Amino acid sequence: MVDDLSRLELTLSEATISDQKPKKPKSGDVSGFSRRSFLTTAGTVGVVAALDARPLVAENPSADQPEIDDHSTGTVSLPLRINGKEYRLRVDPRTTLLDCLRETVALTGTKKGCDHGQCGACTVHVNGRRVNSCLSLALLHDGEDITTIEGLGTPENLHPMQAAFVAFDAYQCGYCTSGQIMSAVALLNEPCGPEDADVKELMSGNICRCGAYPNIVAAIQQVRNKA
Amino acid sequence: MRTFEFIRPNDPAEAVAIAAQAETAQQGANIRFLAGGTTLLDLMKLNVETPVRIIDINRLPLDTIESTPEGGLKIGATLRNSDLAYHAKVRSDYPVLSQAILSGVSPGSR
Repeated sequence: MVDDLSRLELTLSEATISDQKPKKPKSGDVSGFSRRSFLTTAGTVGVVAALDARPLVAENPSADQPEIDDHSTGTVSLPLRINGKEYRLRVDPRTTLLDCLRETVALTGTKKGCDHGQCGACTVHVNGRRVNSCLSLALLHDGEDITTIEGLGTPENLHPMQAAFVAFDAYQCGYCTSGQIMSAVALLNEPCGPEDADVKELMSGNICRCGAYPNIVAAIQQVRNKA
Repeated sequence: MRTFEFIRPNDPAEAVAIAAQAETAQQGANIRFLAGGTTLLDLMKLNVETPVRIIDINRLPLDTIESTPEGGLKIGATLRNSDLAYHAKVRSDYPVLSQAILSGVSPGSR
């Protein structure tokens, strides 16, 4: 593994990165950010995480579990608190919060739909407020409380919003669902009128290609009326 | 996305001094301020913006809103769009501003 990292480090020189032309998205590549371009432009920590699905971080760091550092150039250290756990990470500064959650920490419940802040699939909470994590640098969030869908509830202990989504069948393929739920939970603490139209307006940043909207609105209204 | 140096200044004066080293503030500037980042990061992903230094202003005390003696509002640079739109005085005295913000961008990016 160490030899592989050394070879990767040699190929990821600054000249290589800055000379690279932006890649045209391949057909079917919704985000315009293919795995190939990620592997060749991201820091090696992100690269190794993509090759090897295990998270490269010490989940509960102690003296005998130091921060994992591959000694590559250009990365910065980043302490993050995610779902109440402290992580000690070392990431390329360009890493978005979304890619950090999915690729570095291997919390893949948050989804990448468009990678440009338009679909809401990447919605997480930072200090209780909803954020499109694809348009936020991971570096910004040291010292803040990050909550992902994994931290909202578990199958044994569902958040009421998760239970409502199940009860109202508020999803089909499920890809937008974690973002829908995270947005819906944040909405409970936002000024929102009582009508379905008010809910739709505040949920308009979360797109569902399967069209589960009526059931999503019903689930949210059910939770709100109970509160 | 081109990589960059990430700088967190201690006060607004330091932030301004660092930014003043840029040759331009127009498109393609090599030094950029970063607040929420929903525009800057979007353009950086497309290589339209390629700063080599990014100045994080989020930890500076710039998120306040105050009435001015002349009868206007002084709005801090890092006040969240949502906080501005839902502010009581903005809703009552500047409702178009509130409505424009709420119409302009989805909740996860404001």
